[in-house]
Amino acid sequence: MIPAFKKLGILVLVTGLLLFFGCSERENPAGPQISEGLDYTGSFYDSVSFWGNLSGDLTQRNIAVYTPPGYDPTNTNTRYPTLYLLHGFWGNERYFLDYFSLKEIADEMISRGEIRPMLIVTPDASSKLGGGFYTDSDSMMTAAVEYTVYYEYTRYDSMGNPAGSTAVKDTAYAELTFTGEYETYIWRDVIEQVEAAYSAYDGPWWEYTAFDNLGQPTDSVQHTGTARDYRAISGHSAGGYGAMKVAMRHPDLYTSVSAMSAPLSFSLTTEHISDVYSENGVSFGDSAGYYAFSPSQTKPWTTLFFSMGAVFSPHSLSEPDTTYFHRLAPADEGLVGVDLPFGPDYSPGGTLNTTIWNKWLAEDVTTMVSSNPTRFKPALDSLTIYIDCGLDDEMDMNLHAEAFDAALTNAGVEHDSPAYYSGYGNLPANNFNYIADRLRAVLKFHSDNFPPE
Amino acid sequence: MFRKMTVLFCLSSFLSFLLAASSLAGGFATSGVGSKAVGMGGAFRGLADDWSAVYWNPAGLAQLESSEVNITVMATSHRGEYTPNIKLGEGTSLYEIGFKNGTRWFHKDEINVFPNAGGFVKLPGVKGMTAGVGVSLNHDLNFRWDLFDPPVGYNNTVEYPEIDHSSRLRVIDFHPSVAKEVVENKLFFGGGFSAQYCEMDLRKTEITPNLQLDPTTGDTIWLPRPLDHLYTDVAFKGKGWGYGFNAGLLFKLNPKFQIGVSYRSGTTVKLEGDTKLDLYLPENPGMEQFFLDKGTAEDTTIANLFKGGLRSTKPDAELDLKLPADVGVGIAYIPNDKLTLTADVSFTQWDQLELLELELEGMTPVGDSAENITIVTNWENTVRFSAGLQYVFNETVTLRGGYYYDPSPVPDETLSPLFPDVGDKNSFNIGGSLFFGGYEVSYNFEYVSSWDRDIDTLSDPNGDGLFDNYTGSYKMNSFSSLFSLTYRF
Repeated sequence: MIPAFKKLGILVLVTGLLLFFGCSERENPAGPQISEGLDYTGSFYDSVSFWGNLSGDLTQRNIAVYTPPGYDPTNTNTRYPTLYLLHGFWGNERYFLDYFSLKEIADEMISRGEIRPMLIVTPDASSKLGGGFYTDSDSMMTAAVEYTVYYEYTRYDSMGNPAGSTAVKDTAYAELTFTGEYETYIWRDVIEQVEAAYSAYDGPWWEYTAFDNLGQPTDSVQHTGTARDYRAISGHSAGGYGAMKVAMRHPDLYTSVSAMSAPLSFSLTTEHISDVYSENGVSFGDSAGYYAFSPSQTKPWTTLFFSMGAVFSPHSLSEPDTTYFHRLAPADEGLVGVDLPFGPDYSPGGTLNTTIWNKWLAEDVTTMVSSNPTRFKPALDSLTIYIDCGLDDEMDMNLHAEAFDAALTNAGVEHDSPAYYSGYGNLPANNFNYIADRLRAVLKFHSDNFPPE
Repeated sequence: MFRKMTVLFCLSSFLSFLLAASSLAGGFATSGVGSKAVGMGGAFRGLADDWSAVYWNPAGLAQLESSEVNITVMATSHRGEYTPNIKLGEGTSLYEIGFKNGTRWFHKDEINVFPNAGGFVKLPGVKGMTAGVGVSLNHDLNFRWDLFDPPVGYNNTVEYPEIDHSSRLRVIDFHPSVAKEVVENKLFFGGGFSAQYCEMDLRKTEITPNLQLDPTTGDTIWLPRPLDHLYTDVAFKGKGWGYGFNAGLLFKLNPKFQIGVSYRSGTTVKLEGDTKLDLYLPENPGMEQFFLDKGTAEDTTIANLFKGGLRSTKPDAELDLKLPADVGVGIAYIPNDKLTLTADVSFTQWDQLELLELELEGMTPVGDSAENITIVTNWENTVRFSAGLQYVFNETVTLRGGYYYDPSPVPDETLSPLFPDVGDKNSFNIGGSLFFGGYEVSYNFEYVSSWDRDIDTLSDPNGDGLFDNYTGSYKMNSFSSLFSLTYRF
């Protein structure tokens, strides 16, 4: 017979041992190991697209390239899909990296397996007036001008240090433009430079030809391979517009396109002509005031209209009619400036100069789809499209998205509706505030549209 | 005999260390005091027949014939889980702000050990008068969580601490009491004075809007996400004293039935200490250059907020912690020498705890005078129901069992992992005692099961623009172990 004391002691001991294991320390999940990629910014070579620009903007441009964790520049057997990400007005190649933490976001998403490893390229498309709007500016002269340039194809090590290069000195010809050929720069020069220096899927897409002083071709380079499925393009604000336009005109180069808070319907910008007047303190009908319009940092709408004018409707040097002309250079340089699409007698709701305005609309993606569906519907059908915008956009880009969405629908292009997002608290969903979050959606969209690894 | 008692006490104390007890009753109150009372589910007001009557109903001290001393060892830990789901925005526009959402997190599992002690003596020369004293842990809290890291893109250059949310509270009650037999063997009255020593640590992440004003125009400069908020690790440590009293009556209707009622006053504990404010600054070259380009001295000061690093200050802090008043009535039915049945109902005035206001005296890391930090609680009164039984097998062995139902005083609008009384609780107790001469060795095991709670909506009851609850899913279960040794003389 076991004494009561011992019975109780056994019970306590057994219970204690059972509960000891029930109260063991619990483990929390380990956090994801975030591997770091690298971002390198540098210029590759003089881009012929900017030769002879009358604005005086740089011809040798920086490109920032994000390489994912594990990228080995010496391993040319491993190739990476590439996303070309275009900055907005007043941005540059560091726009997404320095303001919106593109590298940190990409590192985390790749490390968590949310997106596949990819190269992300952010080229500099800035100008003295805020940006080249990813448009080939009009030619100012009929004669070509000779330039001598140096080409350097460079590979980089994991620390971003040059690891070998090939230098070529050559001579070529280019026509003078007002601002430069920003559209050609994106679809030709940037792709060439990146695919020469990085392990991207590449070619075929262009043939470059150098000319002698008689204009005869002397050299050419042809890339081989099929890269379209591994190439995507995106952008924010003016960059979103640029991405959409470049993709529409060159659907053979890209598989997917996205636009964040982008001006996709220029007709909606005419509502802000009154902002130009108010920024300059000018009343409607005041001719002297009209001709005194001047862009500056404190006049955002004025600067925007002048920048768009510089790209879409630079004043032809041989055009004597200066009714719509605004000078951007000293008088001794001639009629160097822009033609605005509205004149000194403009009033709200009034008409625009058709000739000038049609130049703008020729570069407007909504007009392009609506007026030429035969050409652009097949192009858009071949692309996967993503558009988003904040509901508090101070430039009404959400209305632009609606208009472009309607144009696509009317043209019979299958596409997802734009993603409109709202903000919280005191932080409006304007053109700028939520880009870090939208980048996640954009990176995921393009990653999902590349072929599987 | 003494050797046996020593061995058994040591063994049981060791087990108490292992068998983590999280006897969380309502709010941050413990399940109670005394292994017999806790073993009977806390339905002890109508019985109150050991030293723990100083806590439950001091009138009970006067009914006892012998004096006694007691030491109890409580070992505590908790088994809580929290899955955060904290985002700002609404509908499909929801934005992360750094909480580790979607993953179930456990707080640090720790075993806290604390002894209680008490006793009473029959006062010679004063008929029917008994004086007692108790030292007990009436309120206990200890949770440490890793729930937060500044969101990707904030780019803090100094690593955020692993434990970013923690709450630690101990209220030790020093409680002398006296009791008097008012009507012989019928009516008893008692009262006690309570001196409560409290130590409190609170740590949380303070997420504040990063609103900058243009020095030239006075306009608000909107900073893009995730720079629109700044993240400060706030850690308060304080200690202090509070004072109160309790009183009770015990009425024996007949040898089989008795009823007790007791009241415990609320207490305001004045805590003094300091609060460490660690501001983790973001690194953003774009915004830094944006403000530097503006050129004014004020803009340069703002630009420095985007260079990363850590800025710390440690202002003095005071906090008034309001502990609730409590009133209850209990009955005891003793049909024979072997069986005792008890039941209690008590009301706790938790709505005295509306908020915890840290009054700061000093500077913030950005050079402003520190403003008070408010943790809104808005707790609600609760009614607890308890029932217990005791069965005396023989002279040596007694078994006990108990149950209580205790609602949570914490509303959805203020629930957070700092005070995770997540749901209404059902507590199941089993225990017993061994008697050897004048010694009683007792052990009690308690399991408390809380209802799970899901909080879907962020709330800001005080309208200061900062949310006061933590949305997500909460679970809490507790195991309790309590061992005591009593000597009667």
